[in-house]
Amino acid sequence: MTAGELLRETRRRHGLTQRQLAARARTSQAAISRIERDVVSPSVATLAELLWLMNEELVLGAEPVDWGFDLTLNRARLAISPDERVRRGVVHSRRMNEIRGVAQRAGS
Amino acid sequence: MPDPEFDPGPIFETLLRHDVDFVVIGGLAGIAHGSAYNTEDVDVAYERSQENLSRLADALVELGATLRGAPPGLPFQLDAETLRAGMNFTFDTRFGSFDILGEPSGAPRYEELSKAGSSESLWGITIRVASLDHLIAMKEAAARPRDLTMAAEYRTIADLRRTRGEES
Repeated sequence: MTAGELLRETRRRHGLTQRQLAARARTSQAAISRIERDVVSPSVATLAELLWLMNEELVLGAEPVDWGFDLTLNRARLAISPDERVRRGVVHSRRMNEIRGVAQRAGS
Repeated sequence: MPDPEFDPGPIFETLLRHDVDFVVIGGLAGIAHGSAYNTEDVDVAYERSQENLSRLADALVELGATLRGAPPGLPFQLDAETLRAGMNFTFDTRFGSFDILGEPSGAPRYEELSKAGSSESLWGITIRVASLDHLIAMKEAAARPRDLTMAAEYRTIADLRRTRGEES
């Protein structure tokens, strides 16, 4: 969710118009609109202030992204030396090439 | 002619024997740090002094380097002046693909890249390998989908290594 989406969703949840929120924030309706349309990116402090004016608190957090890596593979490599890692990597690369070669011959 | 079997060891051995100042970057450096991603070439960043360019050119000649993907018969003089006139080159060698980058995108100046790296014993020889943080920066700068995924894996490896009490 973008900062603009968060602001718009919160404002609507409170039944406020952009003009009403702008009045609370002593800014213009156009400024609120620009934020909500993600034309401009507000600072964390500005976003927190706008939410505060609707009795909401901005909660920042960070969560790990799940990229779907098989960490067991990385852990297995970290358990061996860098030398062994690159040697196995090269062997693996050669095997992959062999497999690709078999696939290409089968397809031709 | 069949592709030569990928064998990084002799490439590094040749560079070291010619006293070339270089740092391993790219997928092979990632593997040395613990990446599970495959690679099929050797990428190095190299120092750009006239002396190092001469040593590098000599090493490339010994490796039988030819421009990868260039039309047959394209005139190409492999010497220090040619390397000075360019920056990044992709070669085929007798030991597989070998790319040299004078200014890898996303990397700091060569001196900083080398200083922040680590010396690793690979194939029985000691080789300078770029730091995980600089590899991440280079992958983020390249920004192709595969690069971004690899950058994410490198960040994951850095976290894993920190939990193991290792420096990345």
